[in-house]
Amino acid sequence: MVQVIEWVNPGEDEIIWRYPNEVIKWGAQLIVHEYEVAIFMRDGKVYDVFGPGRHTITTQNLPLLYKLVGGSNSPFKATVIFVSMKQFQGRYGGETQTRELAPVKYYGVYWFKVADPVLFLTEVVGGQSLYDTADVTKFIRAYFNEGMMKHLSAYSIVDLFQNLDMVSTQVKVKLMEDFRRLGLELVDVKIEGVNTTDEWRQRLFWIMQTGNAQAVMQMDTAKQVAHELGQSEGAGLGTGMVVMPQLLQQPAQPTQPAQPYAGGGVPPAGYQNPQQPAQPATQSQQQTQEICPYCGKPIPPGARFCPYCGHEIKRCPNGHIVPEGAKFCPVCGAKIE
Amino acid sequence: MGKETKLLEKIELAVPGYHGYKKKELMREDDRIIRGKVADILAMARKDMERALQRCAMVNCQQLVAIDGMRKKLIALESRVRHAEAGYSGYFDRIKVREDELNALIEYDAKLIELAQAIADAVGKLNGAIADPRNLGMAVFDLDDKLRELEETLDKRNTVLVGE
Ligand SMILES: [Zn+2]
Ligand SMILES: [Zn+2]
Repeated sequence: MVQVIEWVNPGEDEIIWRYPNEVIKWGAQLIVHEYEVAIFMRDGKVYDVFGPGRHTITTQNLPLLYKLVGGSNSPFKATVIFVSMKQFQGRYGGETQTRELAPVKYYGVYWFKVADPVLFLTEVVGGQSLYDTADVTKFIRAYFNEGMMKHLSAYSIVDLFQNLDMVSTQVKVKLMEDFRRLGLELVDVKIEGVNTTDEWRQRLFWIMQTGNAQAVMQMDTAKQVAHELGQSEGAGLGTGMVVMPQLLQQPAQPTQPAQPYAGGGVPPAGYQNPQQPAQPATQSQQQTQEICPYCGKPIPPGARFCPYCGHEIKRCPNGHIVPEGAKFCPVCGAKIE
Repeated sequence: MGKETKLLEKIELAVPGYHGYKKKELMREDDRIIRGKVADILAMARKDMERALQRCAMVNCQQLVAIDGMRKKLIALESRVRHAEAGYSGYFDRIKVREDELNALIEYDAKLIELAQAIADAVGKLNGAIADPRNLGMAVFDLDDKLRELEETLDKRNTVLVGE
């Protein structure tokens, strides 16, 4: 019987397969299908590589291993690993912190494939001694997630929620680089959702509404922000009130680019538009300039849902946008059911 | 007639093995090597573009999302060129392929190679303009135009191969 080395019916999600028999005879038939590569390894080291086709194992096409086994024609020991060159999809999700230490959760999908099978086997399979698909997939997902956490944490919460397109592209490019180091090609990454705590969502709301991250960040809690802003139309001015009037009247500028690798844990110096001095907005201006507090895009006046991110827009009876969980409208003081 | 002969010579020079659909049994092969050549040029351009993306992310340039979008388009075009569309697999099996159709095909082949090369050049320019916002904007527009043009040329080539 001629020994046949073949990956029969690989499953859709299978990225590698190890031929179970480690004793190989000269003259064995090696069958490599389209979108596959077969690699001979020993002690975690890669020796000879075969592309698609039907190969008879001879001393000529296994020169490195032949030399290693001392030029003998008797059967030799080697691990044959098949690698799939198809594209795979993985899901991810995790938690990290932004530059201001705001907790964020994220999830999405990524697509990858093996680009350099030898590097991949050296780094992942041999390097980590992972010889089956489940282990390899788990390793890749963990590696992806670790990178995602690390790169996302370089951004501010405003960037994450206001410039998610830009941020996710920047993070993707970074991750592509990380993946290349494993012999993998990260084809694409999609961030499907980003979320934070109620406290931080409210704080974010005020940053977006007022365009002044610094002032909002200086207040201890989002509740304090809401409370102090809520009083601004009344007579009794609290300590925070010095900044409040212009805070309220300056819409966020969604065109500000994301600032990632600027380094340091320093929060951004505010998102005010420097060319526009604070000026009181009229009622109609405010109505035409409504901005979604969750994604920063302009929304039609009176909208109950953001047409861009789909988030529900909560309003007071007088139509002012209010943060989630607020009991009173911070603009007019109206009670919110 | 002279025009086609010149084009043919030009393609043969760039793509060794191409016969310009002159032999019935080699037509499919001619189609395959042309697509292979064009896809190879696009693949090189894509690698170059990924370098541009990295540099763009490093200097935090404004065009990052646009460049990434073009990279995706380039990937799609590359795979569309490389893997023949199912629709026209039977084209070369037809009893008679008309002379004017073949001439049109040769013209599109020449156009495809020219455009793929132009895309590679445009990516090169893009790469050189990453740190220069004014030129970068122009380079992005230019590349986008070329990608679109390649897409259109592919569509037209397909109508020759599929339709009557
Ligand atoms: Zn929104
Ligand atoms: Zn109100």
